[in-house]
Amino acid sequence: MFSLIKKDLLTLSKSKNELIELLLTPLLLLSILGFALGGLMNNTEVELETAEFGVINHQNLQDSLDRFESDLREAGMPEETVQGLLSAAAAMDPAEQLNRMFESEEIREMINIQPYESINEAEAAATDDEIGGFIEIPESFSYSVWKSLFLEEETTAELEVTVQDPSQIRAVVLDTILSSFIEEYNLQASVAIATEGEAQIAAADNQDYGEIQRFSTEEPINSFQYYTIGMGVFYALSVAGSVALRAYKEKEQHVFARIMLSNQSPMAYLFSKMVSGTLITYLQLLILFVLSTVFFGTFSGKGLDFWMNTLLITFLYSLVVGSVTSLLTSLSLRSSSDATVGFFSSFIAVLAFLGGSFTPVETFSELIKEVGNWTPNGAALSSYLQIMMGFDLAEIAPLLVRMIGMSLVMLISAVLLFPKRRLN
Amino acid sequence: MLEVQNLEKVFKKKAAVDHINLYIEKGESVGLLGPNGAGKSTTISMISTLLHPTNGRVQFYGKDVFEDARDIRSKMGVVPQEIALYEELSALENLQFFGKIHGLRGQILKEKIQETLGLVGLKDRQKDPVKDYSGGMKRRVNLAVALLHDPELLIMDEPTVGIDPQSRNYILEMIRKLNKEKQLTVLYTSHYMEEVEKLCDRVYIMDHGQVVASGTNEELRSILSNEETIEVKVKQTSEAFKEKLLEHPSVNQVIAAEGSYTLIVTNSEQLLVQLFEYAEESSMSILGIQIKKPTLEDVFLHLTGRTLRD
Repeated sequence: MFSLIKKDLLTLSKSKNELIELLLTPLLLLSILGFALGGLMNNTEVELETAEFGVINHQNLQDSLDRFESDLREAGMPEETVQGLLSAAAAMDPAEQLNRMFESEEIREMINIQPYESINEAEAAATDDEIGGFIEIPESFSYSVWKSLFLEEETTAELEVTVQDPSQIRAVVLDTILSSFIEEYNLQASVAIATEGEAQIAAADNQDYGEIQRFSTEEPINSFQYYTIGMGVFYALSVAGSVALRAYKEKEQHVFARIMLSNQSPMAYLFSKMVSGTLITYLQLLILFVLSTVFFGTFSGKGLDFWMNTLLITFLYSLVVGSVTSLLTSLSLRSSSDATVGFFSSFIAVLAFLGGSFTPVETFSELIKEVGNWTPNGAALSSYLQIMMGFDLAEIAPLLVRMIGMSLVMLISAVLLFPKRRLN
Repeated sequence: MLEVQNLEKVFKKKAAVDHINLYIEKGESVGLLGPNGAGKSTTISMISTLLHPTNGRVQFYGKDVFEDARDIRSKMGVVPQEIALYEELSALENLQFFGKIHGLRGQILKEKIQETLGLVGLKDRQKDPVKDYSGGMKRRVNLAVALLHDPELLIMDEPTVGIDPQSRNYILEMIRKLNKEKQLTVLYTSHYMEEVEKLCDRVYIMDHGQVVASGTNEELRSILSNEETIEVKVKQTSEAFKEKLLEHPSVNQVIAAEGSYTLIVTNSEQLLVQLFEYAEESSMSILGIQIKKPTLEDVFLHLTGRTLRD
């Protein structure tokens, strides 16, 4: 089988057209898209000015705690429970945590918050364009949050946000950060309640911000990173078509028959195509990542963890492409035309679109995003992006398992479909 | 060495090979002669274990080839009609690949490659990509691959299609030499009568999936021992002329081609005088007449009513 794989690599290395298609075309496309769409994708090379916002805090923590304590006692709770809940409420004051988040270094690079005494003062500053808008913390904000969290009453807590123009980039940034804060606060509070307060310290610890909503604290993914991966997983699919087309030509030119006459088993031939597809894809993606980093600094400065995880995802995705290769090989050898490979080559563009290689598909709909994650390239793209956003390997495990599953299904189908009786 | 019994292959209810029988002794050179579509390639595919027959069996040294395919495959070299090579690779790289998958390694592989390249006369061009070779050179590499692992039986499916006469002679001479000097057993299919006549000890003539005649060249020609072939060159053909010829008692068959007629006759002397009369009556001009001893082509014509290149 080693000779069969070596021959596949040797014949590919002698085909300039295929090398151009597999390596130069994606590199060229990622360069064009990386430069052209840099501004649209939060490219870190596009420097964003720090946005100025105001905050008006109408509430007093002690007054809110007193009011909450009075409610607890009216509800006839035992003294021990009242004290426990008051202590938890003080530790999880949402207004205080919001304030701490805005003071954190990462957020201050994006947003600077100025305190204002009254709405009039903040409105005047907004009119003079000193600030892009302001956040109003109502008098009963923390109180309402606590009642919702601890007494399971319907929440009436609302942060009031006023911005000059909601479509402005700084307004979008503020909106994203606040959404991230609310989601994280809810999660941390739920964890704290579920663990009966044991997680309260962690919830109050500023260091924990951003661990759940990584995109708010990690470097945003720039267009070169996105399109290096997008074009990489897209063009990797064409490896399957390319290797399977060679298998079809081998059959047409009776080379396949000649290989069979040398007492190679049909399954060894099929697996050689799978391994060739896997190896070529692996090399293609690694070369693309390295070239993109050399030319555009795409993954410069990334740590060992990132590279190890990237190598693992690349291997699993290459395995999927290898399995697609074997399935296409079986189908091509069964049929009397190369239509199967031709159809797949046309279908790659659809897979690339659904998988998000051209543009992030979540901007269209959740459904397309979900469908995209069930395509091999979409699952791989999501895995790469999440690793870049700082997720752990364990968190992307479902996507990795999905890739392994796809690979197995296609490989088993390839074995079942491989023509075993007619070898010429 | 090889025996084929009642071999049949049916594709979509049509018999491509229709219950044929043949045998080959060790060291023999046997030809399968027939026009395109006669079933020669299908027969070869079954003999070489690439295609399972619908009925019948193929035995190699008494063993069914499909029960022990590995055995016959290791002792057989097959030269397909197509150039079954990687054209982007050089002859050397092709031979290295095919040698390795046949289990040859190291120094033995190197020596076998150089020996085979010498045999086909391509030592000097061994590092050039096959795609840069002439048709004849590609055919020689195609043959070299089949010889690399020292087969006992060489099966060749029209190995000289589409090449120049010089390359064709080179290949035929080489095969004859291997057959005579190294006792290589050869099964050679072709629709070129002269190749089979030159190369083969015995011939099976196939048409429409059946063996219509078999024997040595002499035995086959004796089918037409009482007959002669007359080739009449004319300016233009005429249906009336053909009809008159067919009415003559000495004429057994008339095949019209562009600018000529081929007649199979039992008594040429009787016919010759009248031939000119028929031409005059049909307002035709005869450009030339040639009386020949029957060839295998004529035998085929006699047996099937059509030429090998129909």
